[in-house]
Amino acid sequence: MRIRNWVFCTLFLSSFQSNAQLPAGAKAPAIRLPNVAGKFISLDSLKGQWVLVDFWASWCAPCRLSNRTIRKYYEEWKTKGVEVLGVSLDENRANWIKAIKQDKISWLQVNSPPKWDDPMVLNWRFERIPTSYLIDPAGIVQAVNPDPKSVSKFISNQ
Amino acid sequence: MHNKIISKAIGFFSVALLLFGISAEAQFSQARLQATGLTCALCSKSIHQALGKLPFIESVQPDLKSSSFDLRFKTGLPVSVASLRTVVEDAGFFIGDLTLQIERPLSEKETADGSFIDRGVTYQIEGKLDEKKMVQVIDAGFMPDKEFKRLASRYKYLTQAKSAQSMVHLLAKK
Repeated sequence: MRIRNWVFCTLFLSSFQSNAQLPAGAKAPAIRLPNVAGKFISLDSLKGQWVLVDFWASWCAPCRLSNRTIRKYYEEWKTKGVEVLGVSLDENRANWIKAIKQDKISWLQVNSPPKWDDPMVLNWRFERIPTSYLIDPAGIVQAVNPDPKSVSKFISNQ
Repeated sequence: MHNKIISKAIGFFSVALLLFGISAEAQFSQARLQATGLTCALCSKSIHQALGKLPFIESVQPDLKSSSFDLRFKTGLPVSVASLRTVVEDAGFFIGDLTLQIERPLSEKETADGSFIDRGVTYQIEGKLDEKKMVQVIDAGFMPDKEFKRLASRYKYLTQAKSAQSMVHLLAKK
């Protein structure tokens, strides 16, 4: 009876785990999506450096605010070997491009036109945007929604 | 004899199906839905997916300026405003505003009465429709409480009961 309860509890808890947000320590799922010029960029091609993967959209007000913050730190991060890969969930390509110009985004940008339902996006298991993941040079998630202020310090301590 | 009955029955059902098909156009063509809550509703995956799964919804497009979802409805399928409220609330948000565009042509009598019945639901329109035929749902649960109380003091027939199942009250927008 006890064993049966234990098996039931384990299965019950693991069902939550499978839907939970991608945790630190997990292998970063693949990303291969087109940039503004239509050229495909993959996360795999950035292996060997730290990458902040940032999921956002032009219609998401907190994401637009977050873009401004990333802009503030991007130059500093680059000197420490951190790249930023913005993944937009915009369905409307024109709105995405307009937002890139408005927010003066100079980091890597790709677009996922099927929005939330893109299998590549679903693998990241986030429930809202903005959501960002700090990926180490080996392709492992080291932090979820890291505070931009502490990214440089975090990398230095690794 | 049996064949005659069967062919008559098939004929009857075909006509019924044809009539039903003709009358089964959507009441509304599109809507603007503003969802409110403690966090950004446009940024939530659950609300996007829940709205997108409703059978009568063609597309869900968030709009930054109005902080609303622009919804397009499928032609031929009835739109349920009660279902819209349910999925928004189940996703952890509330409806701040739901404004719909009436698709269904209204007869002279319906225009004069300010109401129409569609598949068992009565839609009561307050005010005069303009050519765009935009209406706001003014039942409880379709706007913030403060706004509802203000409207309920003006339109006494509005009650706190969150129904909008068999009777939907609409306010013509200019």
